[in-house]
Amino acid sequence: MRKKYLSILCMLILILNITSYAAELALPRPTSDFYVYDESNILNKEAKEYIIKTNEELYKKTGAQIVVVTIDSLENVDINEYAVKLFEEWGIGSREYDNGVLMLIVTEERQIWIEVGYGLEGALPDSRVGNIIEDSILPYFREGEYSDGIISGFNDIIDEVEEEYSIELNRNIINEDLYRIDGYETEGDIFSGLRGILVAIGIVVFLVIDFKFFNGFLTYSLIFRGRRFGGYSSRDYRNNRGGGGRSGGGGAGGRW
Amino acid sequence: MKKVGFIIIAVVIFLGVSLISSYNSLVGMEEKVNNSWAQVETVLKRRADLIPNLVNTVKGYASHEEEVLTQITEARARINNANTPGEYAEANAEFERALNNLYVVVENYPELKANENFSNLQYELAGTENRISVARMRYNEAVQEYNTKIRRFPTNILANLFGFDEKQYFEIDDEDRQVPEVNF
Repeated sequence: MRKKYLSILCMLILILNITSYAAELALPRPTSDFYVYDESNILNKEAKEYIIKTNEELYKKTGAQIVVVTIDSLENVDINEYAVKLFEEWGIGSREYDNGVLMLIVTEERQIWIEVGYGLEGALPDSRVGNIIEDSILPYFREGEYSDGIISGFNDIIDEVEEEYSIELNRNIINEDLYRIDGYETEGDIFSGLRGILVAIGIVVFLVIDFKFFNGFLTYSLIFRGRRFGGYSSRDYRNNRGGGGRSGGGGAGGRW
Repeated sequence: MKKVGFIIIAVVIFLGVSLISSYNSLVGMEEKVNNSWAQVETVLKRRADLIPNLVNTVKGYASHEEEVLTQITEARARINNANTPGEYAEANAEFERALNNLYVVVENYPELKANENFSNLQYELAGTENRISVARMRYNEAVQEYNTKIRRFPTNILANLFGFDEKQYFEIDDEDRQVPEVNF
């Protein structure tokens, strides 16, 4: 009888190890639209739609993603650290090109930081981003025009990205869902889903053998291995369409 | 009897597989440490490359502020001479202090502050400082993972056997934590 409870307990522990570690920092999870997270509620509806629609077209053409996030407070974390971690967690931009941009606006502390992924550092060097913030965004922010300021900066960023990829986006607000894409991730997602199932089956088989022959010794020793299984699911968001892009901390910020 | 034999074989196979997988994972982690260190060096170099431009621009407006400029140039050289992560961290802290001094001095030269090249440089420096911060964080995380693994039982036996040594953190003392603030 006791063996059965032990095995259930071990399964639970193993499962806990599999799921991603909770970040020390309480990062928000993306909305289903992914491209806009407006905790401070400073973006009007047209602005949000504009950002989303433009991004959808952009992603389809280049894999790039420009995400706008507004939060109330950093809660004693440096804005740089917060931006980098959020960027990492959400995987902004495509994995192949690391072409993501995160516009992070913190309303209580009145700070902005724009984080640029590795792949766009050429198009958006730090000084360019700094100038965009100073010239296109902060003037609006100082007047309390957050929505306009963000869109203004967003457009400047899009300009640079368009130039980088020699494309032109249709920037009218699109009403029909012309660019709705299903399954944003290509082979990556499905594969990890299958892999997940195989891993789970493997674990169950292993547990059965382990407890039958070795009284759980192997399971205990594996638990102490720590992160062996803990690697794959933190990127496994399905609803949020982070492409898995990375950033190195490049970008610029400002205060108003 | 046959059952015992079977179990023994299974155990041996399991141990063998464990050993191999442990060893491989140590190798993977060590490579991650090396890789993230390479990134640290890359961004340190990136900052170093910005310095000549910075020094020249400042000289154009504040030619008498030789002391501060020399400080920076020397601190930059010291970073080049560092060998271990600990040495790099110390040299880096000194450099950042020198840079901080420069920013304090620059406050007295509004024309310099208004200069477009200088303000672009400030953005670049701030961005680079951030990159250094990120690279350092990632390096230290990789080191922590690796060091913990080679110290844990039973992997520590394997680690000793194959010469996996503890890596040094890129550590800055708390008092040196003042990253130069760039005011826009």
